Amino acid sequence: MFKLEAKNVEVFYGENRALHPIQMGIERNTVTALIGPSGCGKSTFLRLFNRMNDLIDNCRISGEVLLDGQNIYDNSIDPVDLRKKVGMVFQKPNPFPKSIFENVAFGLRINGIRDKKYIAEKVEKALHLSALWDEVKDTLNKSAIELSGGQQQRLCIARALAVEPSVLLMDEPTSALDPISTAKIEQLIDQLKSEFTIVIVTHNMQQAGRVSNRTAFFHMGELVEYDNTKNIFTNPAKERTQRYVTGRFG
Amino acid sequence: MARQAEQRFGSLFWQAFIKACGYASSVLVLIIVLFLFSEGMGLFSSPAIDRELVAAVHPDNPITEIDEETLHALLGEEITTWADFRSAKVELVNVNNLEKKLKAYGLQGRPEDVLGQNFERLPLLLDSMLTVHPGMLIILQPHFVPQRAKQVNVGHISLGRFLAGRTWDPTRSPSPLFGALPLLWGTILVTLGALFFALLLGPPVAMYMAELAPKPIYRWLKPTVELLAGIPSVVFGFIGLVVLVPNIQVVFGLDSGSTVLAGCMLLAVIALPTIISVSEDAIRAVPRTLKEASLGMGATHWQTMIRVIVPYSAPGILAAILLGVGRIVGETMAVLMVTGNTPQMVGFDFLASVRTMSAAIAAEMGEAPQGGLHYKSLFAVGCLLFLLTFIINLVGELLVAKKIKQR
Amino acid sequence: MKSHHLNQRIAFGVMKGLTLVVVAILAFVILYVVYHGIGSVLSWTFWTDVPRESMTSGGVFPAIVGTLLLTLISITAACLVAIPAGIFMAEYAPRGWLKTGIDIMTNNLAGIPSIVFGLFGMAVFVVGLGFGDSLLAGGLTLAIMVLPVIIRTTEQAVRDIPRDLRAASIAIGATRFQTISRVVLPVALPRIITGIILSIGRVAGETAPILFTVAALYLPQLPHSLLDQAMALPYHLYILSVSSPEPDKSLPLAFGTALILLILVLGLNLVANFIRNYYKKKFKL
Repeated sequence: MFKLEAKNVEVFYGENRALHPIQMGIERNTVTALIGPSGCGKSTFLRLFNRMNDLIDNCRISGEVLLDGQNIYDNSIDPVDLRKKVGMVFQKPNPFPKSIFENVAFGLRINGIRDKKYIAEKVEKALHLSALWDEVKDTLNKSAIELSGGQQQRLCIARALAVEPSVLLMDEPTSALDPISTAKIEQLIDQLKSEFTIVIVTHNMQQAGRVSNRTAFFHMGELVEYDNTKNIFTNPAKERTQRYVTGRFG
Repeated sequence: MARQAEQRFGSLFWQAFIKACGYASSVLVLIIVLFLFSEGMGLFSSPAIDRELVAAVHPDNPITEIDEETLHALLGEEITTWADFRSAKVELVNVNNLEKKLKAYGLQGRPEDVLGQNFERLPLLLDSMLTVHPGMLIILQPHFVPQRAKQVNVGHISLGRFLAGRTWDPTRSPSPLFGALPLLWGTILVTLGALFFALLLGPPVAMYMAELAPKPIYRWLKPTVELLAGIPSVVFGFIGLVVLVPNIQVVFGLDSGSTVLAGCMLLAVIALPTIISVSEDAIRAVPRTLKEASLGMGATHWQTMIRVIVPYSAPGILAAILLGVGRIVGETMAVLMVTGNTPQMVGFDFLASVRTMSAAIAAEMGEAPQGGLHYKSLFAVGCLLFLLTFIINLVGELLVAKKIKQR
Repeated sequence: MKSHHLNQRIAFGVMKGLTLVVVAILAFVILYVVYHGIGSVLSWTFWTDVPRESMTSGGVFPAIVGTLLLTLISITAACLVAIPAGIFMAEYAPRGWLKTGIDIMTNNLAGIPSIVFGLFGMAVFVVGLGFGDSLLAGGLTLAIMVLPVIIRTTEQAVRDIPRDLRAASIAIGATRFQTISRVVLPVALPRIITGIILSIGRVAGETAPILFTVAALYLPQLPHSLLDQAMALPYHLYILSVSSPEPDKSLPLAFGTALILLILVLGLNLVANFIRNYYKKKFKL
């Protein structure tokens, strides 16, 4: 059984079609990269998995999206509960203007947890997982805004991990970062895949090549090709993929 | 689970509260309008004489209703005979001339002594007078009107006379005059004058702040303008009273310095912060590229301002001026204190004394008995003031909104 | 070429001069009031005594208390409704013509002359609900007057919170309400508080709405309940300057009262500016 699966999913914004029917399965504990030129629908596709598209007023979705075999667009599913199982990291680091500790504890607190010791343990664990602990352990009460961009993004990862999701969605997580911070995040992704299923949208094809097991190429709202990352970059089946990965458009 | 349920209930409660407050405040304007107009429009369904008085005539007099126009003509002695009643001479008896009329009828001494402490015998006397003067028109309290006399309806106060009437004399007895034109004109005159001073200062200062002021100066200038906006109007009124009024009196050699001019100067200062802030925002909203294009073609900064920045931000500056006018029109205390407070038609005499709409409400409401004609008339003035500011502000807001959409 | 530069010089000089005029007006108002009012304000009895000898001596203590109470009542009442209403406008209000209508309403509510609020307060609170001339009627009238200001400030502050902060919260599994109460509001709060502080200044200095809803001409004692009349500083200043039996003798008291009002407004503006700058730095917004 796939960890995540899209079955004939289509997305419309009002009258405009954003995604053509897509069929795609994602294995447990792998990193899947979504690539393609801007506006190709890769972010829209990513946001299907935690139902962030629901927040857009005129967005209409058909087909099924399965998490552990269950359709997450079923009426019995509360998107709020779903998002606790499917974490997300955004393009720009977006820590809350609170302390470092409170940022990570946020997800626990909104679940009504008040046990201080338990929260402290979980925060520390999440900061360890995101490889930020050593840098911030003495300054947990400092405002998160004072961290550097790369640290902020790892804090956002820790924040998402603290509620112990099984899936982590990353929407171009390094596009606003410098090369050194980017390398750290990529290294982190590599470590995290033993525990989490990761889906990452990226503009940067080298990055997709470095971090992902499988890669999906999107173009004009269509899933053009989905294969092992190696195949996509060395021996793509479709001409459009070939032209994109060799940099002839996009 | 219990904790989750408790949390969910809490959030449901607060969300319901938020929504209730939202809907409540969105209908607030309607509620205000409702109350204002229900009191104010009451004026136009009231007879044009004091509430406790009735009008009565000889039983053979065919007239059954006297409209407002005729009533004032009768009271002003412009109509002296009844056209439909054998041209009988109109003989008016009302509270003001009662004693005189009684004397003319031959009554000696103080009326109280002859007619009794509470004028018990007045109806009888009037009855006999009525026989002699069939053209008599009695306007008195109902219990003084003789049995035989026929009460006639008095027509309602008309909206037309309210808007176009040139005399504001709300306490005149027995039939008050509610011509709001002097008040409206007072407001207009003061606004025009204030606008002159405000336009002289507002836009250039906004331009300086947005385009020229060096950063350190700007950092002082901005709070200065905000502070000016925060000073209560009663303080401005006070300063006007002790500084402007005496000086105007001396400079122009007047009997009193409480003039339209003093009001204009004060109101200009009160409207300035609004005009400056909104204009400044409008000027800052001009895209850099436009400015750079003009400078790049060799235009001076000043030419760029006049030919590019001002035309582009004109709707915003106009909106700023309208919002400023809204403030001037509604301002009460400062005008009340320095414009002399006389409800009269003054034309364009800026050295005369006027009473504006807002000042009339503030000055007279204290003395107007609740529910009476005067009370209602002040609410009607309030409605007029509300409509005026509402329209001005609406146009201003629409201009601002349009500007934002364009960007 | 030269004439262009000359034009510019003249024009800029004129603009600079006019700006100086505006600054000078403010400086004059402040200095004039300080110069004439400082004597009264520096005396202890001015703050603690009741007005005496038909307001030609004594102090303004009851007016200070009255203004404080009025401000307290009105700001509490206004915040209770206006902050939720502002959140509603920014977060919950349905889009489309209804929202546009509500927006136009609130914007125009802010432009209604204060004397009209006074009329409304008189019709509704004093007469309609039978509160009579009282602290309660006046406080509620003032509350309605500042309602739109606080609603707009709250709405704008909430609306200006970056979208990605909300997205982050939603993506962790926070409900919409949790997002609003735990992320959006704390960040918006400093701006809301700034708005409230400026509203306090407006409420404390406003005269027209309290003319016939609360103000007592001369009441040398403190109010005992919400349904009592009270004196208030701005109204007291008005009375001292236009209907004092001996204007020359009340003038120093009038200047003192004006100075208290100025100090109040100046102080509140400073506090508001301080909060604004502090949080601007802290949140880097």
